[in-house]
Amino acid sequence: MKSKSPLLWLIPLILLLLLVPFLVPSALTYAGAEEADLPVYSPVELDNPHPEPLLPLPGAKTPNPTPYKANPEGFVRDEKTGAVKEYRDGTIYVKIESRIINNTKVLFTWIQIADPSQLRTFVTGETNPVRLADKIDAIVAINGDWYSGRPEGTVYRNAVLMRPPKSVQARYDQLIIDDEGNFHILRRPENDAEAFAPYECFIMHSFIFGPGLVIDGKLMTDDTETFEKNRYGSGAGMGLDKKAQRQAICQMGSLSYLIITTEGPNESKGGGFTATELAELAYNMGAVNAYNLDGGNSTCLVVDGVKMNRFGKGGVRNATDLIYFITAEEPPVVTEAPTEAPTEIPAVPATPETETEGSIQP
Amino acid sequence: MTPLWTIGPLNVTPYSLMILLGALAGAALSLRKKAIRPLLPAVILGTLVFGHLIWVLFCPYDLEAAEGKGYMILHIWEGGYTLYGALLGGALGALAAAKVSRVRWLDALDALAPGACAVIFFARLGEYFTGEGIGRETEVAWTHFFPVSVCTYHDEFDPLYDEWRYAVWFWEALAALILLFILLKREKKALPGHQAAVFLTVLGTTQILLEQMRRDNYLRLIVFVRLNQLAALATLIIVLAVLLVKNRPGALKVVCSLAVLVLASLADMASEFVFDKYEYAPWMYLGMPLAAAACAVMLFVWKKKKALLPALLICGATAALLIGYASRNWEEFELTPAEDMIRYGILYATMAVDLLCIGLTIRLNLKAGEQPLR
Repeated sequence: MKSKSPLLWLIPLILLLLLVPFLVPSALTYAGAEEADLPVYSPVELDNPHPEPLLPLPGAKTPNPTPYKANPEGFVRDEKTGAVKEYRDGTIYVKIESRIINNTKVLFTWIQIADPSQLRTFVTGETNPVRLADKIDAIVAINGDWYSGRPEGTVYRNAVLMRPPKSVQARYDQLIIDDEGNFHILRRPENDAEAFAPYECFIMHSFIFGPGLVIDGKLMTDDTETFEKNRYGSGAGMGLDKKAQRQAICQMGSLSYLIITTEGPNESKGGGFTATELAELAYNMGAVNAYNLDGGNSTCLVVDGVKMNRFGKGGVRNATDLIYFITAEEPPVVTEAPTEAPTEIPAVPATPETETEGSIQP
Repeated sequence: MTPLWTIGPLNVTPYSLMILLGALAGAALSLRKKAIRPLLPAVILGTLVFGHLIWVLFCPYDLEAAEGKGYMILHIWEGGYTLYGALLGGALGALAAAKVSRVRWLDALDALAPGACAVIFFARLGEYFTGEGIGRETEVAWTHFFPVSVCTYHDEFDPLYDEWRYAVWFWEALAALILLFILLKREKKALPGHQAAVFLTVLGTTQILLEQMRRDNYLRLIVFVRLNQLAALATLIIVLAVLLVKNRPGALKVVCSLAVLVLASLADMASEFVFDKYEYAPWMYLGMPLAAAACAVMLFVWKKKKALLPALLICGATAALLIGYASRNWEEFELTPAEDMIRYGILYATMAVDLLCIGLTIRLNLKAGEQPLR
């Protein structure tokens, strides 16, 4: 074979090798326009606002089945991805919206329920939260506060006292959810037992993570000293000032909730939220009370058995407790169409007229 | 991942520097063969273009640019690559350049195989910087050291929050390094086409197993089955098909070979559901020993009585692993971290036996007739 000049291949080879580091920056990309407008919260009127309460609540650790599964017809899904955008039945309304804020994908999950017993918690050994949420037929489920990882703090789950309050200074802001579904956030009470005493008869759930982000409509980052004291020993010790995946549960009104789930720097280039940024976001969304839950790789938002936030660095972390929402009405029974025409047409009985309340569509 | 340098829209990151190291090592290994040198620019170009193109085609919806896939294909510097896309592009680049340079394509692939191993080695090490290639979390304290696992999260206030995950990226790099040594060792004696066949076979079988261990979200296509696993399976099928067509080893050997490949592949893909303890998983347990049994039959057909012991060992190993797994009540609420590790270990070991059966099948066909593939 006639030998050719080596320059014919050497120069292109060197040029390509020089280009390689610029053409292969990373295996991860995120290209999305910044969406500055925040979703607006609109209260929803449910068709069945006074259902039979789902009592008694299951034992905190007992994997009792959820009374009613979701109505498959109630889901509205994204045409392209099949992800749930909305769920509606007579007793619960769920809407999921996403925005790009601070170069980070943020999921806003609005939840309105008809009865406080539709907000529940579940405690377990370390297990995959996505499988767990699917097992308990939760419509929406999020990770809790990983209370088992810390010895301090008062813990109630499904009205069961799991760890009694002590007469000591609490190390974390604590969230109480009472029997009407209302949030009460205690800011590192100096005497935990005394602070819990007024609520003892009404507590359904309590959490020990924090910090409280918004309390009674007031942004808590204004008091930086107390806000930052939550870093000691709590999961917020992953760094209140570090950009990470975050999750906050907020109360917007009576039986109206908002879950804010942010991705982190491994999913979005330069993304993630600090705890302060999360607090400001919850405040700007109009939260009356907002509480920071376990974040980082524990962050898990599951809707209809599907994890909505991306895996992040390392996949799905096992969880020991979940907060979840269920429906309080039985889904309609699907009957098969008759294969043969009936021989007799049954007479339709006369029914008395009944008044029904109109429902306002959001 | 924070870039080290930025020039306009172009970023240089630690990962891209590792790819550069790999490209330099791969080029150095390939430059040893004089006839292959003119092919290298086309190989590198094909690797970059197709590695990115295939990734864009399969990338999940939520990673797509607002401007769409067409934009992403052209904006190659924004990243996104996949292994088998790169291999395909490299092979096509080699084919095009080989025709121009009048070099035999299979000879080119044989010569490029060690270089490809070097690139894969450095690319896998580079995954440390991207946070990909990470496996399940391990809470068993004695596994908390590199290279078994890496600390993916360290809590400066409470070590209870430290998270250790299996360093699958390192194991994939190690597999590429071992494959490199295998290829270099047999280089002088290998018949034409055999180096490429060995490269694709060993890479394919290790990819199916190791990609299963990953817990990141990289290009999952069917539930937990990833693009790389399906592409690896496709290349194994192609390699075996070429060997069967070339060598024509006889109907019985063809049937056995195909049975092993099909059963083992299906069993390994179905093992995803066994890992998740689906309720109907029990029938999936059968797939793995069936694949091993098919391999045992094939060994016997090829080697007759000499294969009796290896055949029994293969069947016995798979059956023992599966019986050991199926006989235990792995109640998910009661597993300790060590028990969970054992559970996964048994399933992975069973997968490995099946993949070895596939490798053995291809090897037997490779040696059949001892002829070059061209």
